[in-house]
Amino acid sequence: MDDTYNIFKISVIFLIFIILGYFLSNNISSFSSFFFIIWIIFCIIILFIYISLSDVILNIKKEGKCRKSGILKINKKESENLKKNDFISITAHEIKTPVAVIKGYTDLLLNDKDISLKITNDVKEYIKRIENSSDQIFSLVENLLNITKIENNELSLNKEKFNILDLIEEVRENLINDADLKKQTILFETHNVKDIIVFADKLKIEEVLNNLLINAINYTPEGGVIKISVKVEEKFINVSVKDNGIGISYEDQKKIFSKFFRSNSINVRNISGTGLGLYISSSIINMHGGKLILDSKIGHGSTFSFLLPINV
Amino acid sequence: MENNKKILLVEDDLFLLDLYTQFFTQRGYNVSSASDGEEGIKTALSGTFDVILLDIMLPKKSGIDILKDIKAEGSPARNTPVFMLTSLGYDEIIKNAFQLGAAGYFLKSNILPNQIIDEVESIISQNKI
Repeated sequence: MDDTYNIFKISVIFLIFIILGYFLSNNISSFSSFFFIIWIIFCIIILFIYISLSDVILNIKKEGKCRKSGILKINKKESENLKKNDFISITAHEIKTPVAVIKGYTDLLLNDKDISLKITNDVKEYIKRIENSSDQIFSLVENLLNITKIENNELSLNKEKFNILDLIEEVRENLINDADLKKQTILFETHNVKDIIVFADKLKIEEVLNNLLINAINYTPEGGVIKISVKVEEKFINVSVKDNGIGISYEDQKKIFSKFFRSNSINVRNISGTGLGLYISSSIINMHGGKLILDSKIGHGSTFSFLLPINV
Repeated sequence: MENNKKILLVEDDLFLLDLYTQFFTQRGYNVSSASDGEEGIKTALSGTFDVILLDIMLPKKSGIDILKDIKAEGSPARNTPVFMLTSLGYDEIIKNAFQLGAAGYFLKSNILPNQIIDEVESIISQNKI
């Protein structure tokens, strides 16, 4: 109703102006038709300005109404977020299946005895590259799904009791080949303690440890030393991963736990990554009631440590 | 390698289905397959299988609905172990599948076909003991 009334009102005003112009142009006889055309153009411009301004005014009015009922606006934003997250999970699902196919076939090509005999070493190298790239796509998608879960509050912890020292050793062993490629050493200091039993989500803590160690390997130059140490402090255990790499500037430290953060520093531009690992890791540790902390100085390496409550 | 075990694979991605078929055939399984939900439930109820691998997101009929039918009272396949295949790994869906009687689940993209076979075999042999 409002819209029809507005259009009617504007049309009537527009017509009155044109008729007025017609009479005026008849009175100024020497320029009559020229004046009339100019007049019409002028009217049209005024009309457009009025319409665009009334749109703005209308929006302001609407927003005012929404502000009064603040909940309504928040809900709208939340539902938009949910839609976005649903979109991400569906897309991720659609990407994961073909990636599973790629991984399956590369596994078949590399590990099936009959098939791998027919392939030359060059080709095997190419297949390995395909495998690596599909692993990268896979971990990106996995990270996106994790973030969606974190933002939808759907990430739940499956807590169990386990020895965190065994888990650290396991993660270290899995990554030792990567460190060897860069001639790095990964030391593990336990301060003569054999068992530290924690009650936490083992898979998620493993993900955090993996993220921290992979980062340390990536951002430490060849021949570097990475040191993992575990200390028991009253009600918390403190697990730290220290490297003697390039270090992180104070500016970057402020943003490092945020989503999609990647440093612009020249030294790290050739290192691949999505900037999601630390955001996820810090969310996981927060969910456990702990904290992920960074201590770093340019040129002096970085130490990432997390505090995890022992008796939860 | 012949172990005479009969397996039914229900998966709508044809490449993935081909992969699983190849791996299971190599390990000596007698493989039957279906690529949509309706075909899946028909095959599951008409034959006798030692194990069924069932995708959750399927055209025509979802894996969860098929699982319900398989585990329904009077179904000939009621005692066949069913393993679910999923790509998203939503806790709710997995819980639901376990409640309905699934023997286990695999995150398709986290696990290679060979590992699936190892897992399936180890779970089946554990159950026998």
